[in-house]
Amino acid sequence: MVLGKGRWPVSETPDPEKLKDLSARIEAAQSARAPEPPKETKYEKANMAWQMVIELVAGMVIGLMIGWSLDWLFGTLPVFLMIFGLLGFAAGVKTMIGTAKGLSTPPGRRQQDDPDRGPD
Amino acid sequence: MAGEYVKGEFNIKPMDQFEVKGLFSDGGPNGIGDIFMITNQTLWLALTVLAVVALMVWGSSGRAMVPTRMQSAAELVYGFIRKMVEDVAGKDAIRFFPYVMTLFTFILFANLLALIPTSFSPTSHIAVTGVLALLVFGTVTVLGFILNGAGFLSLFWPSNAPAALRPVLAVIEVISYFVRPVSHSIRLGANLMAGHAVLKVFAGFAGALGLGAVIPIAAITAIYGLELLVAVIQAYVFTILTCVYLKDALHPHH
Repeated sequence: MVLGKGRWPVSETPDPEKLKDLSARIEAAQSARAPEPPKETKYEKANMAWQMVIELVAGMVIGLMIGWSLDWLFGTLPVFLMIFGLLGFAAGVKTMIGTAKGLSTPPGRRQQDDPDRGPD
Repeated sequence: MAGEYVKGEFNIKPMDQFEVKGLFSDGGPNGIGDIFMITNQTLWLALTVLAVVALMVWGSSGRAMVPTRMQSAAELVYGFIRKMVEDVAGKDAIRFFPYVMTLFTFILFANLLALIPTSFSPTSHIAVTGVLALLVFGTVTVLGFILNGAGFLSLFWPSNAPAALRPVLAVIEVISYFVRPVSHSIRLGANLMAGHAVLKVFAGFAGALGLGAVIPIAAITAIYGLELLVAVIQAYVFTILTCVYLKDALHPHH
């Protein structure tokens, strides 16, 4: 018998049954106290829509800017402008889809997507 | 730009409130020579910092076991942001908590102080939000390269795509990486600006309607409530996006 911090006798090997029971109770208590997932209000949805528009336009503008600069550098005016305009559009769509994905998954779940995430 | 306000007519000049004016001189800053000019922008940025200090230093300096109202508000903000950093960016991102906390409190108070009538709203200027977003962008990019070396570039390399498409997709990824600071800053700035402009438009109606002014005043009240929501949510959104970007810098391979 060893006296624990709380002056209660602590056995050397904890009873697995008791531990399991305890962890089940802790889990129950935690899930009871967990905040409800925040609801997406109308305002937030409008906000998301604006976000997507901005992303789409920003992607295209950045692509066009890169293309135009390359053309200015090499003196091949429409070539890179066209290529990077399209690439920028694709980038805008990609970011937009990313935002839309974030909208469709409930906010509480987003972190459990990649459990193997860690320092590497 | 600031026109005369005529009594009994529609005085709708929603953009006048965003004008940067010198406090001790006529007109606004003009050219690089006025870089140290004290403007309404300077004043309200300083007041923002003072408000943050008041809450976080003066408000919680009592360090009471049973917190006072101020202390408990400060602790609430602290706990909220700390949890956000932990949840979104990961446990090892907690060393960047001071930066995230600074960003949140600064934007929050700038947004909230801007709601005081006749005040100036620094965060409605893309110049301000752009600097904030570029700082985040620069920090995250530099950090990514310092922590991961060239491995940070794997963030842009789609390893599970067909080999022929990879270079094209990589370019797309790089461009969409540069979209971040743009949407990050425009989002905050445009939200604030739009809200304040709408308030001014309704206020302009109220001046000309006589007794009918009850309607626009009621609308202003409602929009003011919405703006309160926007102020807090936009600060929150800016911060959580910062955390998401931090996560990418810490763990580019996923």
